[in-house]
This record gives sequence, structure tokens and C-alpha cells, in this order.
Amino acid sequence: MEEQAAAERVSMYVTRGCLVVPIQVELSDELALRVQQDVLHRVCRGGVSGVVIDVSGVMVIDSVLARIIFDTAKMATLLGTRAVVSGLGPGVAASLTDLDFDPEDVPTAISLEEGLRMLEGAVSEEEEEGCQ
Amino acid sequence: MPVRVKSKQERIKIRNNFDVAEATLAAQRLAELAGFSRSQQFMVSTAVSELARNIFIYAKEGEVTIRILERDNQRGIEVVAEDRGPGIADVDAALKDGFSTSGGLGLGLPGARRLMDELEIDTKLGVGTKVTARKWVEA
Repeated sequence: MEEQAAAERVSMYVTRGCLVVPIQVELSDELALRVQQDVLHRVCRGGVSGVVIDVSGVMVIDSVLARIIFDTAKMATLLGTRAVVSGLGPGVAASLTDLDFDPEDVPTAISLEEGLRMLEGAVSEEEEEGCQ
Repeated sequence: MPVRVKSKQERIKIRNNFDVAEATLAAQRLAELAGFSRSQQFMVSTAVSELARNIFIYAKEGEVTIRILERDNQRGIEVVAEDRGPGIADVDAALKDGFSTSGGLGLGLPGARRLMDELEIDTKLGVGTKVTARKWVEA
């Protein structure tokens, strides 16, 4: 498990005014929390009015990881952006339902593209909102 | 058998988060060998993740053993999560949604039971807990 012990990071990018967070590796709690921090710091730097956390590359999301991911979306919302979690696979969706996981009011999308489309109406590229 | 099986059993000591991740990976690999669909493999992995986390949270350390089962023409997977932790005082309550004595999410046991087909708890206060869960490949 040495590769997991190394300081792994998920790289993210901004497109159409949205911060895209494509998670393409299996998550540890530590990595998920690092992603959470990175997302919030990036949002606070401004120039982003939407966040899409795409988990299509993650096959196993248990109750704790799900909480971290969905909380990240909620936190981004508190910072004044719109946030969507996209790309939950069928196994993940079935598992989270069996785990009685409550996504609360965090919207989900079938794919990253669809997530961006959902935010597009609400997001204007010129908009620049910083952190208070 | 279509594939040569290197190991049909994995035993993983659980002492930290990385061990939990290792158990999760082993579960997926064995579930694949047992013939579960991709979605079902990840459901088994998720159940193992929850059970291994419980060990880490409540007992600090323990062991997860995962093996492939065969009966008649059916294959399945068995997960045994064992620890010498404090034990569970009220098993019925521990299997109810929302119950947690750790301040955690309390989703572990009832969730794992729904993810698998069968789940038994053998526990004694001050001695430890053994959770055995099985899931069968649908014929």
C-alpha cells in the first residue's frame, strides 16, 4: 500500500466557470479529506461559481467516504457556489442505498458532462465571487 | 474452473485505514473470482469496508478473513471480521439503523447486513466480536 501512503492529490481544473474535481482513484479517508480541503481553498480563491465532484472513477464508496464527498459539496454550497456530485456507478448507488445513506439536498448527475449542464444555467462565466 | 485461483482466501490484519483499504481490495478481487457481477463485487467490497472500519473504530485491531464458498452449484463469498474489542452489549440495537456508540455514523452493521445475504454476530462483552457475513452469486 506504499502508493497510498505517498502524498496523493487529485488534480482539478476550471471550465465554463465550474471547478471540476475528477476523482479517478480509489479513495482513502485521508485522500478524500485532502480533496475536500483543496476544493474549498480553490473555491475561496474566487472565479468559480459551480463545483462538480465526479466520482465515476471510484468503485467503492462506503458510508464514511460518501459523507466526506457529499459534505464537500455542501460546504462548497455554503461558500456561495452550486455543487453537484456526478458519476456514481450502479454498484456505488446500490451500496449507498443499502447503507441507508442520505445525500440530503446535494444534487447528483449521471455524468460529469450532465453535472456541468445542470450548473450551466445557474452559472455565469463572468461572475467572480470570492470568499468573504 | 475457468481461472486458476492463486488464493481463495485472504486474511488481513486490521490496524489502520490502509488495512481497511487493503481488505476492501481483497474483497473485490475474491468477489470477482467467485463470479459476482461488477456491481455486486463493489457491494461486497463496501460491506467489507464497513466491517473493517468497525474493527478499527471500536477494537483498534482485529482481522478480516475473506474466502470463496462453494455449495452445490453455487458460489459465494464469506467475510469474517473478528476482534478482541469491548464486544457489543445490545446486538439488536447495533443492527438498527442510526445506532452508534462511537459517535460515528452507525451505518456499519445494518448496512453490511443489507449488502450481504446473511450476517451473524457472535459477541461477548469484554471478550470480542465476530461478525460473519455471506453473499451468494445469484444462479
